[in-house]
Amino acid sequence: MSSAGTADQFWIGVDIGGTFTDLVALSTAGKRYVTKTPTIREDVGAGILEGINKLGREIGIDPSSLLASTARLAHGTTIGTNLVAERRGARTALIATDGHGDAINIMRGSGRVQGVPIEDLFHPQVTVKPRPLVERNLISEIKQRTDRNGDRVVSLDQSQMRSIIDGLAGAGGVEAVAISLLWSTRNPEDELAIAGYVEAEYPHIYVSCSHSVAGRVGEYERTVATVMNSYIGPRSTEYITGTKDALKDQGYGGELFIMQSAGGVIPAEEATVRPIATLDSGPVGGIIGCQVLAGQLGHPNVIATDMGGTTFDVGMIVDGEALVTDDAILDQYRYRTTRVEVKSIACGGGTIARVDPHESAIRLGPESAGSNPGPACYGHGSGLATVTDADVVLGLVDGGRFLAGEMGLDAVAAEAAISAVGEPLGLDATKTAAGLIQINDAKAALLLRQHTIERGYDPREFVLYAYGGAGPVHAFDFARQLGVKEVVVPLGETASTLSAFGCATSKVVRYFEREDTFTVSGAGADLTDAIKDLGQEARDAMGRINGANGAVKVELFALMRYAGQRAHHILVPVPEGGEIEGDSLLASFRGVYEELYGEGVSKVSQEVEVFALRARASIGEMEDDLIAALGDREGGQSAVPAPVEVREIFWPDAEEFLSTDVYDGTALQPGDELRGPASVALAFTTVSVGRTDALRVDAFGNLRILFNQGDEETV
Amino acid sequence: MSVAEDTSIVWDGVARGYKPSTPPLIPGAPEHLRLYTGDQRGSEIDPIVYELIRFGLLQANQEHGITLQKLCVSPITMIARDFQPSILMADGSAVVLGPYLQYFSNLLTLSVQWILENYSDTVGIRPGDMFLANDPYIGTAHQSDVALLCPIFHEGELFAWVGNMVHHSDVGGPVPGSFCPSARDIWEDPSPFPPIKIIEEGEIRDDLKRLFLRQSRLPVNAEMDLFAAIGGNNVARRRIEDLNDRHGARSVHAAMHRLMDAGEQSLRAKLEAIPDGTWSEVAYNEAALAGDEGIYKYQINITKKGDRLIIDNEGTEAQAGAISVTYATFVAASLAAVAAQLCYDLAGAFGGAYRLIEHRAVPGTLSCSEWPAPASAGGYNVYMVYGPAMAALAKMMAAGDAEVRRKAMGVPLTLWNIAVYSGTADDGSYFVGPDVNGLIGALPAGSVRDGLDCGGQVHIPEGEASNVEDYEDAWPILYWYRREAQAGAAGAGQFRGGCGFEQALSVHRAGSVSLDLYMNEGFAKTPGVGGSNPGGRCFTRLSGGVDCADRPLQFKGSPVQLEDGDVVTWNWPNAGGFGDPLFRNPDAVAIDARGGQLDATVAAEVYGVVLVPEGEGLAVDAAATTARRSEMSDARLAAAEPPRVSSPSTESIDDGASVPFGPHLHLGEGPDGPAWVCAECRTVLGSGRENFKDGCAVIETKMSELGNAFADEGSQTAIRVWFRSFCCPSCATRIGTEIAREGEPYIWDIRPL
Repeated sequence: MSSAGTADQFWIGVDIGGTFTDLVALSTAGKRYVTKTPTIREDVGAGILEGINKLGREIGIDPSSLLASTARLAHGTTIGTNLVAERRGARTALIATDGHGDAINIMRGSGRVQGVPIEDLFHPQVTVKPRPLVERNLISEIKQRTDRNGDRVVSLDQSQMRSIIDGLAGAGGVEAVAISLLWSTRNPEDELAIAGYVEAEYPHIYVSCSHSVAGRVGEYERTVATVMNSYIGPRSTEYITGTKDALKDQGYGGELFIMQSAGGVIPAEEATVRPIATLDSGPVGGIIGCQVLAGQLGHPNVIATDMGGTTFDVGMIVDGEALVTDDAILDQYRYRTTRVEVKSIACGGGTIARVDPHESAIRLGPESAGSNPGPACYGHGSGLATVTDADVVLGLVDGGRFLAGEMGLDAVAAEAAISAVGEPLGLDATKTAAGLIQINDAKAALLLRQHTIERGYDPREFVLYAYGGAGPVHAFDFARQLGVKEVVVPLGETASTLSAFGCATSKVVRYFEREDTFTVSGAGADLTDAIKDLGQEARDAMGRINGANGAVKVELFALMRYAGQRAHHILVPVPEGGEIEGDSLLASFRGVYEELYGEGVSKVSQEVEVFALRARASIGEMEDDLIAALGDREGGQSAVPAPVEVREIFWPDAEEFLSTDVYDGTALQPGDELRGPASVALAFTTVSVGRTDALRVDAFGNLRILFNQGDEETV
Repeated sequence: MSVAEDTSIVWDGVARGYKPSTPPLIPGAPEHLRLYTGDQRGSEIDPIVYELIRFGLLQANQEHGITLQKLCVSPITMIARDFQPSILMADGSAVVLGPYLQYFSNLLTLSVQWILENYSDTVGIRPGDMFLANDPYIGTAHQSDVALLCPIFHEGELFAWVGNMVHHSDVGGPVPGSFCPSARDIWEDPSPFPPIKIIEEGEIRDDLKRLFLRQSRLPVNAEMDLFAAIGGNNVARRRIEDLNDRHGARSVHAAMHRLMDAGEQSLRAKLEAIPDGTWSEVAYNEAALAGDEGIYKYQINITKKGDRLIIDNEGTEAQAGAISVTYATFVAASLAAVAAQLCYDLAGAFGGAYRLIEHRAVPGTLSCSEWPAPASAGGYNVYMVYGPAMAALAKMMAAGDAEVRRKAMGVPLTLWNIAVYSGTADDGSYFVGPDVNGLIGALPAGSVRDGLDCGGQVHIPEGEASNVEDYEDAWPILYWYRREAQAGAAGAGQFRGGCGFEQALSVHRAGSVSLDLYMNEGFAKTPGVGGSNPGGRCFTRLSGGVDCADRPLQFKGSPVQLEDGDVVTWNWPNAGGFGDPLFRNPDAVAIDARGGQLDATVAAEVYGVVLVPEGEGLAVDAAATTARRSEMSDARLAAAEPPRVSSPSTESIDDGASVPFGPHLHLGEGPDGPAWVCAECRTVLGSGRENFKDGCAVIETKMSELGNAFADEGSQTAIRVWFRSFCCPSCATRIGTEIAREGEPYIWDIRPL
């Protein structure tokens, strides 16, 4: 531990997980401090203050001085996700257009299959609809109707509206109202009138309007977003405001920022108005952490992979920015929001292996053993053969070093479970385990391949970042199959604080969108002006954010499609100034289209149109400087560390046991280099270095796996 | 019951439906076309490699489906996903079926086999080709469903096919939307296209493309949807070629064979848990042509013998008007029913199951029509095969072991309620609007659980209805409401069918708009299983307009001009139930009542459950319920005709000496051989060699007297169709129900061998 200089300023990131709260502080002197404290479920805010205390001790200053010299504190929260998953949100009423209150329960007829694995899709008898978010008797229909042009067909019945609202407020216990009327995106007046009445008469009730929460056409997805926003609104607001106040009491004078699911942080105040922006942001912190590091390492294109116990989450960074999408599914409810695209599949350490009775073939997943009862090797008697058990059988994971030795793994139970799977196929435990790892890794590689190629990208132009408990164990294998350039285990031994690091370092980001149609053949001044206007709107809004300093960067995109293709678009970057040329837009669009769907498929007579414009505005140049400073620290002398032991490990790609050097990852220093085959034990995972690969520790503490550095030929 | 195959009938795809040889005969092979033979010993493939390839094939097909959805522009495909991608073996057998419209895959098989048997040595099948087809006498349910088939070659040998079927919004014919309920023959239908090679070695044939697009009222949409289909095939073909590169064509080929074997084995295992026998269901259609008041009988018989299923249509009446379907539809729809009931466990890779199934169709009938019967209405008549097949299979599975019984599912539908609008918007632009909100659907009851309300469609897992705003954006209409239906008498059972919905709309900012196709059934047709009520009736109502009075609508009438202020109301009815409603758990009735889905009157009248206020809600009065149910049982027996065959020699058979054949029906061994037994009171009903219904007390009611959920007021057909309840003469448990035309004998639907 070293003490900080008095003039140092700090950027703090906090990530609250189910078990641990992680904190990262970056100092202007180019130092990084990390700490970890148990999450206090009943009082998450208290957990943060406890974390600040620990962080202060780590740095060597008292907590109030730390907060006083903190330039920015940002944090990622799963509170919204938990409220929805556990149905502990506010008692929410829904106000809908007369005749359309059932839309949220009808779920377009597809509610039972949203987000359901393909294995269950063909089995209607096992699919169910999710538990409702709004009690049926709290859905009210109001007499009003607007048409697709935003013109009134039926005027809002003011007295009925007032009596409905009064009734709901009087019914007791209604804490939040979601207002979602048909075509409110084209005419928000009635939503605003209802919201105005609620706010004036019942200021304690939390209100969301669909046109502002999720202003796109399509009432089901918009309604779900609005209901979610209200459902998590009161608790999120309480929490965010409480945390903000507590930090202020302790001496923090700045703005509290919250990680949003679209990537980047937003001011606390905005997060209380649109808490849906933070919903399901769990996996995003890590991807943003990768994005920040990648910016420093000169990796414009990154596949960020988080392989944990039950899922494999994948995000993509292209030209330095995480890709975003417009759709999200939470608990089978699909809703409209801009968010970092995270593809999540059932593939992780806890994935269960079994033999399909009809095929005499090994099947892996989608079921997971979770953490309880967990894999056979957890010793809870589950007897379930999982990927982690296969890792233990092969020696890729050392039971004695799992979770820094805090939890021993039962190798005997693992071997018994794996043997039982292989036995009917005549395979011994080792062969079976190797086969399971081959399946796991090849599946991961195939999905990653598809995820990149489907979008028109070549995996060979990407670097793969691997984190999560099961990621670095297998990355050597699936990343090689994928053909990426290199693997990075971000932040090395402190990889578990990647999300907190993402919070600390993320820029302030906001998206702005305008829905308007421009045909490409007639593209001219209208489109040029619309782009300019949107850019200006973004700049103005960003300029009003407190606590975010530096220049505003605005990137603009046209969302393009063939007229009528409402399930599809291609994002084409457009310049903020200067004339827009229809021909060049069309050429960009057609080029990508044919690349994706085959030569000749763009030879149709249909018009190509721009149907929306998007601006991505960010502020954050100070952060860039700060992060760069982290890489400037001393060290970086090339050195070869000493292994702590040599162990026989069965490498599934080599299909044989190899004498493998085992390293204590916590003792590695920047500049250290070692050669595979090697196994590097970290606190929360193990990094496998393949037999032809090498591992180097860079100045940030990232572990970088470079392929084909050994003497053997490429496989 | 099952008919013997008449080998003298020619199934050529010209005079009648096309039935391929097994395996398909490929003229000119091998000089003109060589099939990749590779290594067919699928069982010897490494299990790890097999799993990787299996996963890769599933992913390729999934990506194919997503691409179709992205690139299509017609709401029926882009939003409703009325399409299906598939991967087929070189010989056309489907290996991997997508999670969209299930029966399309079986139709692709027929088209591919027809191409193999007819074009191998003439038109030729070469790398880079794609074939378009929509001929119902070969391989589609109706002309709107257009197949696009793409052979995949490996080193000059035909390796596999990928293909899709896409519902086009309009492919011509006299009625916008291309469903022609008044077509008397195929020349009053859209023109069917036998397979044409629309892409030749990678280049689109501009002449053939123009010929196809020239048929449509919406050529721009048709072009986009056609190119979406091409893009989908391109993507899937690339992924499979990629798998060949990675794992070797030999391994991929072997894995495909092994997948077929797995599908076969999965079905065989379930068939082995079911006794041999024949199960049947009858369904009646009406309105062979608009305005016609005839009633028409379709029958499906499923014979299970050893590890085989034989599906026939014996008992089905002669083809008539525009309600017949072709052999292709008969095969595809009945296979889709088998898939839903018995092939749920292989994530879509169950095509091999079809090896165990044989079809024996009597040609010239409503479910196997001969040229030149029209076929464009096959898109909704297909359910006259699918619905009865679901019922026959559910009854068959109710006789299986505990695991198979648990999976039995009732009947979701016998008609697709569709409305098609066309005309102009106020800006003069032309539109054709097929409203397929039926995708909101309702799942039928199963043997152990209720159907799901607005739970979608069993046979279109990934189907999705539109948002109200999506249709209003596309067409000049405005929806006044779209509401979940009540859990009333329709679909009532020990387990109730899922509730459907009702919607109402008007034209809005329109020029001139007509309602070209609509459904207003005279009587409900969806059978209940195991003594439950039938599912509900599809209706369409038209009210308002110039004279402000309801305008009566026929089942399928002539197009109606819609005026400003007209309100069109239509529904998706509740799905069929499972088991006697008097056996429903009273708490389940109370839960529905508390949720506002059922009122206390229905609880008492349909379920015999007496609900009383408790706090803010309703609770079951247990004593009053027992009394009420006992009264209702007595009333059943009082109203019933006594059994036709009276007093069997044995009065009862013990529990241990009988096996289930339905929720309330057992088969036991009596002194005179097999005997039907009431599962509830153990009373012997009669000989197991006869129809169990002959030993039941029977209540017959005209459909027209069952209320609006089951019959249209004033319908001239509903007064000639009866609803029959077959009850235990001793305890009054309703063991079976049927819908039958006046004068028809009892359907002999359960026949153990």
